[in-house]
Amino acid sequence: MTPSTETPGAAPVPEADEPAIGLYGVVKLYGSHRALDGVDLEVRRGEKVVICGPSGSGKSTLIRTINGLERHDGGRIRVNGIELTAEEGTVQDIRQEVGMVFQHFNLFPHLTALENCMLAPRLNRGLGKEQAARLAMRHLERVHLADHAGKYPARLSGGQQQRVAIARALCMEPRILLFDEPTSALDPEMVNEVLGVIEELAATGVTMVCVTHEMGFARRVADRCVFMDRGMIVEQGPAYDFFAQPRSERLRGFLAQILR
Amino acid sequence: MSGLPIDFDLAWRSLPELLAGLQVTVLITVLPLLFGLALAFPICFARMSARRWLSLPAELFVVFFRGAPLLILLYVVYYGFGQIALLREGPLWLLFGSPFGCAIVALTFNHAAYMTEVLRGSLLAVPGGIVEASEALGISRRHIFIWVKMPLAIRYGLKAYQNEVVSFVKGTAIVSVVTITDLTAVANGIFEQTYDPFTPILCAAALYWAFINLLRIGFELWGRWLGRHQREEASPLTAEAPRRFGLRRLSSLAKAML
Amino acid sequence: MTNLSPADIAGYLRQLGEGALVTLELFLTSFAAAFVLGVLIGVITLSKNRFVRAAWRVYASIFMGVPSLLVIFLVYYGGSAMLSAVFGEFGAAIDISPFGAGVAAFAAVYAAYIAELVRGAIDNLPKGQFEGARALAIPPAVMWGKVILPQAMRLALPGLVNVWSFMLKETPLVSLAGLQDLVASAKIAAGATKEPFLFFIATALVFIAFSALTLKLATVLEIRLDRGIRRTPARASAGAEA
Repeated sequence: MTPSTETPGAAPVPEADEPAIGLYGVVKLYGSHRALDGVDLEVRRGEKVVICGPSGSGKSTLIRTINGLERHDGGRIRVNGIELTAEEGTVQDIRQEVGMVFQHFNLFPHLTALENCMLAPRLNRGLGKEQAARLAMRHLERVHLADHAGKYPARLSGGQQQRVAIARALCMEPRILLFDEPTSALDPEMVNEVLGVIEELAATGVTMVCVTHEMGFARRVADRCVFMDRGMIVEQGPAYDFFAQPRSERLRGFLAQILR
Repeated sequence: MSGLPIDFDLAWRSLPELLAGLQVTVLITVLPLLFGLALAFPICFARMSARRWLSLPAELFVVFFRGAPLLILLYVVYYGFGQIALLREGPLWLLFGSPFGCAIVALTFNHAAYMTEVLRGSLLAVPGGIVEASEALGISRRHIFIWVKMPLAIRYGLKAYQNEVVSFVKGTAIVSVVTITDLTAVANGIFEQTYDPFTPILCAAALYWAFINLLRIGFELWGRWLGRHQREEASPLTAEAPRRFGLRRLSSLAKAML
Repeated sequence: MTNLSPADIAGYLRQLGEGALVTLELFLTSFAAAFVLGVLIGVITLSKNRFVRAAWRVYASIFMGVPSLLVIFLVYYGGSAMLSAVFGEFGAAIDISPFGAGVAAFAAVYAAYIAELVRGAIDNLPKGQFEGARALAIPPAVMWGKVILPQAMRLALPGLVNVWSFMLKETPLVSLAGLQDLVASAKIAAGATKEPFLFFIATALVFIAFSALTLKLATVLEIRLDRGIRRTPARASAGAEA
């Protein structure tokens, strides 16, 4: 599959030097708890960023503010040149550009794999049934599930379900893909099939932000790794340095823990 | 119960009359089921609203029309509404002036109140993650409701709906008190003419039983069709709200009937 | 709009109060009868015997598939005839009162629902309970009374609460067989005073208030039981009665 099947048009094309994602001093509060405490992060177009950190560090919250699933309480967020504001319209615009894959797949249980992939293109872009089905098939092939297109999620393995979820996100032909711990809910033997698909996607030049603890994957794929703790970015750098020479005490402790 | 004196000759002779009564019962079931369901949606949205001025009246509606005995609701509408001059003079009198209209109104409100709760429970049972995934795909709220929430809610709430419909049909037996000649009224009338205490009532009971089990079979088939995507039967609602639907669900637990 | 004298109001209130007592009495008697009968039927029909099971299915199907009102009419109109069929002339002499017909009808109908609840609850108990009791050579009566039923009742409580409030809403049906209950009194008062709206709404509110009050009590009871506080002696005796 060629990388640039992205649809031209609808949304404003960002300036060449405009980052794909820009977070500036982003704050998210849960009551008095600061889930995000002034996060600054720019993701270049085409860049692959891996975010890691202990649970409760705010990494999931961070990725969920990018497409407005969590509303930020302070700071600014720009995605593909669109400023994310309280207006419903800006959120919808951004979501057309941003695909997301969840830890628990969240497939529509009442629809087949193919129908899962067809729903958003049909509703959002008004594609006809034929057109949407062709698009969906193309992306199911991309995740190697064309044979399972007619099956309902309950009949698919966890790994297969997650790949359908990836295909579903791809069907909106997003410029940015967000992954929120895509392999943490999987049985160990299924992790690699999902990571393999994500790696193949990474090679296509799409912008990616992935929350994961799969360090091997991070080394192979990430242009940059980000370590978060207590709602802040503690350390970031190229994948190799990040693992080989962690600078902060907290990252060293964290790596020691997950690598045991 | 060896020798219940059922007079088969009488049963045969009164069959046309009983079937006519059954027709009325079906009519007085189907109309409120449709109107009540239609009414339940806006009331349910109001009930689930974060705005108190919307949710409070909806809640009061549910508490009253679900908590009051159906017979009293019927009396309120039939005897009570006639007192309200505004109603008596207005065009609504076409509705409230006839026993049939009153029965439809009382049954509709009662069913709407129950269905509001069924609907609410079913919508709350839709997993948040699935709704979130739809949002992340950029699907609009209206489309999420139509294409994701409702299809799932129907699956989760089907049993509760079935049980409400079944108990609703049984509830309609009271409309005879406002002179509507439904199945119960016909049976009563035959009793009063013949003083046979068994034949007419048992025949009517058999017809109710057949009607109700026909509905059950219909729901069963509908549920099977909807559940074709599931490997095993699992409704989040069973865990969610046993209190709300417990009794009504029982009758379906006892699928014994069939 | 109202031209009721205080004396009239007091009179109607007294009448309504008497009616309310009749309704309450009918309701509590019916519920107790249905409960005892339901637990009995529930336990008995757990038997593996095919005929017992078939009889249960038929019974449940009939009483869950027919309006309570018809059952009430059947018992009220046909009760004497049924009794005479069973007991001969001696039975024919017994006249069935609306109250008795109501209790009998509700007991028959709601015992089916309660039996279903009890069966479900016992089915949901860990099988080890039975084996444990048997291994300890606990006599069956003690096993059922002190071990199985108390736990089953706890599981069945939410369903029983449902039966409770549902049956409460059906009690006015017996007024159609001529019982002078709360609803019948309200109807008389409504007709005499030409204030039907007032009296029927007030009656409805009495039902709602009573139902809300008892549901609140049930919730408290449920929380208690769920906390795992050992209150089994009281519960056990309630179950053992059955």
